Amino acid sequence: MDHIGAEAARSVVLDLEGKPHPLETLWKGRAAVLAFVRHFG
Amino acid sequence: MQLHRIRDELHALGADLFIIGNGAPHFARAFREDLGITTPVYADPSLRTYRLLKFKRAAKDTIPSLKTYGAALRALRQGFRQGRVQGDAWQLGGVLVVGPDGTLAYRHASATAGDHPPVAEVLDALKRLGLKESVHLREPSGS
Repeated sequence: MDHIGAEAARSVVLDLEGKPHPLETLWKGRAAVLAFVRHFG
Repeated sequence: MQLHRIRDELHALGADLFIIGNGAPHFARAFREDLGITTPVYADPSLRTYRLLKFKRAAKDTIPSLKTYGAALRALRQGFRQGRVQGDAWQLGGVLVVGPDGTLAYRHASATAGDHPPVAEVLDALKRLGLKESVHLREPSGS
């Protein structure tokens, strides 16, 4: 299987308080289903 | 939002569900509250993750015209808020299934607005990872 590219894995998403998290933290230690939506509203 | 409805099934297969949107964090908060969901929600207003993951941008003719919003507007009057788009309207999304070691088990990049992967494909990808439900439940930082 492929792997998420390193650059994408290190790219940043913001939590609800605006705090940055590397994308890879979402699947660290446990699998993740990531649903990227078009926009919030 | 079909994936949100099968969140328990995803957990049973050893995965957590996260929603990422392209608006600002305060839009993400409102999105979560408006839908009454507990799924962790994150924001990428820069669209960098979308670009790096090669999600597509819509061509203008794939976005519904005002005429096609007629039925949607009627639904909106019945209980949904109508507001400005909260994020980049042209950015399309997708779904990834990622193993704990970064294995990309599944990728769906929406080709048009409303192009969502069949839930069965997402579940099959998780089954192929051969995971077991973890006793440890992480506290989602997007909550």
